[in-house]
Amino acid sequence: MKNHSIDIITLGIIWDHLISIADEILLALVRTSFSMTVREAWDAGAVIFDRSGRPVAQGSQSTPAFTGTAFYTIEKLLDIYPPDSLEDGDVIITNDPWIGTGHLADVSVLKPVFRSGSIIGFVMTISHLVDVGGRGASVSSREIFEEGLLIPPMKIYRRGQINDALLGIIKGNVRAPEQVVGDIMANISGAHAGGIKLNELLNRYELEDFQDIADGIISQSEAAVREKILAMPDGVYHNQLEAETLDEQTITLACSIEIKSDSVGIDFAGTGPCVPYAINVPLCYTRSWCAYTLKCLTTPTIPNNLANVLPLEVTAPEDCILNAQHPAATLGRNTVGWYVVPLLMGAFAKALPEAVQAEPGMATAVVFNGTMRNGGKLLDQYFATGGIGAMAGLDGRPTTAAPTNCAMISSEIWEDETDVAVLERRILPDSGGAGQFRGGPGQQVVLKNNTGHPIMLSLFGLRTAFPAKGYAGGKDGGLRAFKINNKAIVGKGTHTLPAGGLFTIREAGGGGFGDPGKRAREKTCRDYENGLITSAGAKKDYGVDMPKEHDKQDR
Amino acid sequence: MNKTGQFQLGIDIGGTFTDFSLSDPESHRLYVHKQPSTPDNPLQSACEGLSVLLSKASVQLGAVSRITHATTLVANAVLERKGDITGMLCTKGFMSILDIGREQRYELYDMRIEYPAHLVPLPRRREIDERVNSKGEIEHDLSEQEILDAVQELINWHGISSVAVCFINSYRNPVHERRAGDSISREFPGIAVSTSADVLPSIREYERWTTTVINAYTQSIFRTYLSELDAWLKDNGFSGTLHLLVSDGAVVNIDTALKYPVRMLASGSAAAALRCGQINQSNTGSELFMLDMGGTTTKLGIIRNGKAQKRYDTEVGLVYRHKAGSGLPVTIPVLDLAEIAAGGGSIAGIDQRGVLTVGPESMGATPGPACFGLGGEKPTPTDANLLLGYYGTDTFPEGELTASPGLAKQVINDSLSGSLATSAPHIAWGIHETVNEKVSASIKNYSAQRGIDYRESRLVACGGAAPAHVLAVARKLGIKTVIIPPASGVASAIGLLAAPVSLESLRTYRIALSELSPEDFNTRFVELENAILPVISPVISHTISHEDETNGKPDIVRRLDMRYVGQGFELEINLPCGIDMKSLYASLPDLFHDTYEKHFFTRFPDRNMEIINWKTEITVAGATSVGNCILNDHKTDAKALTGVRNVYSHKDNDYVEWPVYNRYALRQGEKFTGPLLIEERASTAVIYEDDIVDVDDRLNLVITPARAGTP
Repeated sequence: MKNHSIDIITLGIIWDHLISIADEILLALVRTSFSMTVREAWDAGAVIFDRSGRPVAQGSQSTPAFTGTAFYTIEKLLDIYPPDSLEDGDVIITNDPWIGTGHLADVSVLKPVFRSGSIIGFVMTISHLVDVGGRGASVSSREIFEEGLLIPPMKIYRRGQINDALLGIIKGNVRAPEQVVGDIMANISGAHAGGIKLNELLNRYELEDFQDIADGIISQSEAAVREKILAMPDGVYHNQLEAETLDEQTITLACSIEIKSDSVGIDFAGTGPCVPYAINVPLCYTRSWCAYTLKCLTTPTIPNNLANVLPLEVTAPEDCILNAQHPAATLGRNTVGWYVVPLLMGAFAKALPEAVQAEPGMATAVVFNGTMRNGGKLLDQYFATGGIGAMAGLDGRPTTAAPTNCAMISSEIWEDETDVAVLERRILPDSGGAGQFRGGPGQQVVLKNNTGHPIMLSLFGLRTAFPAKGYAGGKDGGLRAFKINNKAIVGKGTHTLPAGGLFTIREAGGGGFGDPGKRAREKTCRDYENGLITSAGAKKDYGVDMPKEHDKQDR
Repeated sequence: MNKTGQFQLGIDIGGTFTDFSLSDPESHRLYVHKQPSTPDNPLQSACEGLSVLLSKASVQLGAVSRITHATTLVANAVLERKGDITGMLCTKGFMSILDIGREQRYELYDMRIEYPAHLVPLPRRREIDERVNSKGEIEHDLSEQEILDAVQELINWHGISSVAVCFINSYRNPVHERRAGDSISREFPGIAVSTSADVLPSIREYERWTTTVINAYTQSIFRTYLSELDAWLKDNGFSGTLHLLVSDGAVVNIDTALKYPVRMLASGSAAAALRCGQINQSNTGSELFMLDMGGTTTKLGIIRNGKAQKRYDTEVGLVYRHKAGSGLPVTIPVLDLAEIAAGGGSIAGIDQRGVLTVGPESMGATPGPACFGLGGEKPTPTDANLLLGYYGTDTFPEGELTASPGLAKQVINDSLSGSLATSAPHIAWGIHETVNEKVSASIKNYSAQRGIDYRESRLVACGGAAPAHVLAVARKLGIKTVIIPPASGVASAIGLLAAPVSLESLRTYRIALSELSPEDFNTRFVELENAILPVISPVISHTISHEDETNGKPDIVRRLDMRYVGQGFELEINLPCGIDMKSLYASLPDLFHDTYEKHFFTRFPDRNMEIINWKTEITVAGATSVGNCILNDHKTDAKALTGVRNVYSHKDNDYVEWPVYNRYALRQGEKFTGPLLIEERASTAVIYEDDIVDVDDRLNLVITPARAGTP
């Protein structure tokens, strides 16, 4: 298994060090960002690559989709800009969905790191921009040309000199130029910090480069991943599920997973075609969630790097919604792309019933576009999460991001910066799927428009028709819903929230695991006390009567 | 003897032992004492131990000018969920905030991560119909009657004795919280009240409320203890000052400590860090890594230039694989240390995977480890170390404890040999190694998160259990130097003698630099200083009149948390001392741009900046330097080599003889080569084969481990 020349103790120390540098890069990016999406919700990522472009370390709190796409982004960027064409101080930028993260809203920034005149590695930072022009955050775009500015891979810095022309084009095409340019600079300074830290690391260990370390990291990790796959029962496992698109249409997502010896093949044949809305998924994004799922099921505690995708092959029919081609509109690609994880979990469940997690309620990101009380521009994303799915031996946690990993935005921060008040954030009892292990409940959020102006809300809501499925006899979670002034609205599309109006988000619950009849009675009682289920829910789902005095005492 | 003078006293109450130190500035003698804690009545061990120490030194309590006190009472109440029955009042609509949390998973891929239970379960929370908006304006007035009804109900139904008042936007305008707090105190004088903006006036409700709930949860437990201690001291002739050590290594007076027990969360580990700071002064060289192993927990952290770093957020009670994010978040000034739930009294058992684990549960002081024969029925590292021969039967003489290897063997056999099917000594070795692994993993984790190369640092053993484990840990990590200071078993208590008299306060007041006038700038700081001075000035005046080591001029350090307008995170800007406020004001933009560029390699000269938090720290220099004090126990005329002991060798799976030395008889400049045991009261240094020990001029053991790997 040992397929590298470095001693194991030094390898461990430098490996940890690289991860700590990746963490620092991500932290620098988050701390210097000008948008709440990045600085509060951590919609960002950071990856360190070796000289040949192999990913070796990532920021621990990176959004998993971003680190997944970054592995492929670098390949394409280095095809266009071969390493020998790069100079010290160059920084490449792009938001091309098929090269980057699957939609225009994320910018990927790549910086080659030089040492004594030659490249020793690369640092990539990725983050979500609040605006890229076009129709803004809209599900209605039919082609990518409506979705905003596409920056093909370009040098935003050339030998340390900023490309003012490109910056000018970006500024001229977006709604919040100060925020957007500030965030692009945050990405660049994160990458720059990474370059300096990498050189410091090599100085400290008196190394010329870290190729040996990279070999060690990847071979150690690969052996561990393959060992885990080897232990899985060989076979071909299918699953399919339905997801809502728009106008009460639905789409089928299908997969087959072939586990063979120590490798895994995933194919999406049977998946429905692309749609004329902005929810199509380029393959890079699909593949990213495949890698994520495999990581969760094999080596979740080993830091992520190239090794995780070496045993994995992903294919999908061209023009199916999980392999959208240019010029499909993709801004809301996560709306369909997030389903890849539960789709695969359902297939893996047939091979590894005790290892999988029931479907998650997932999360919501709503773009608020308006004017603040003082006349300033309001353009921000609000996040809310549903509950996650249960698994054998473990209840699903309420209100937790999955499969994405955005954080909540503090209500006080949100109010201070948007003039939109948060009136309520409460856990929604009974929304977690019943089961021997209960799914995590979602939440209800009520926001009030205090800006004195109407606000345009862009919604990409999912699980409005298809709940998170329970596994192994567990029940489904509750559905997601949205309301304006207490009237239900369609979960995808653009809506106007009038001045003084109330906007309600009801987040979906996660699926349960196992027969609810097998749930211990005291757990049901505790769930009731803790507001996770109601007495009606206890009766209906678990057949447990809550004692009367319980009601009086505790509710 | 009739000693008078300026004696300094330190008391550190840990979960298992209570440690005492006394310094005599005239004779440069240092007296220490250790005895088992009495967690059910912490006062008992404090008072008893104090009396023993004072009589040992023939000193009257009246001759003591300052007592500095650290305690893990607050932290243990949280870790073991033994605080007050606490209620919570929050703004309508926000009852679930504690449960909703940050909504982010702290591990990306691990689907089985766990989260901590909250201190106030939902039934003990009540929503209050009030509202202050983000500008600080009142949108919905507070009804005092609603507050009183809610509290009455929480008393009737749940028997709460403490309440946390947590309203949204109170960081901006605390008026509703204050009114609520005042009416509760008026109507229910027996109920302790903590209001969130008072505990921590900073934005972000989840973190502020969690901190406030911890404050409330520990308030009356701490008040009861502290007022009893104060009364006892006065009754016994004490007329000096009682100081409490807070989490950032500074000391405060009783009133402040009573109001903000949450500031005491990391009090014990801060004291150990002060002790490491003293070592650094006498040993030049690389940075130090503190390893403070007590009975229930182990703390570790980096010490640079004699000081641990400060931070303003921490976590208490990590519940999953020591992972950051798996504890309760707390926002207080704190030293940047990590803590794991493993110590000499932690319980060893078999986990779900069928492998040996140690902690997080602990036997505590009562009944304590089984080997003491006080009713302990579960094995601990102390039992293991005894059975391995690392400890002697009389290692713990102070509590008149005699340790029995027979009992240790029995408890290990009874609890573990069935599952592990091997001999008791072999299991004991496994327990010892499990602790070492756990500590090493934690050091790696801590270092990785901060980009530290731990191999370059010197590992300092503090706390009673550390000398028995530190060399095995150093070998695992490839660390080249280990320092075991004298009386490492009471390191924290000695550290307390050097605690600086200091207090830092922080206010959130957000203002753009473009809107801030020089007058306003000055006024903000003056207000902040005026707010801390009444708290600290009794401390200062007392210190100055009783201790002539400083010229009495308080040292004021000002800091600002600043950012570019539109950003969400601040950068701490240290304002230079000795510059008038006007020039300081004028230099702010450059100071910020420069600091920003230093951290993030870029600057935005055209962007507006804003100040978020204003911090002022007022310090009077540390009380005593104990660096040149010699332990009273030290007797250079005694014989160093006291005998031999049978020590278990894993390699041979048998016992072999190791020489045993008396630490109190060692002399400066002596050199030894392992294997050997060096005993002092309450701890034994375990030195493996070919490790080299040098005794330095402060009688520290400076040890060079022979090699990396497992001994």
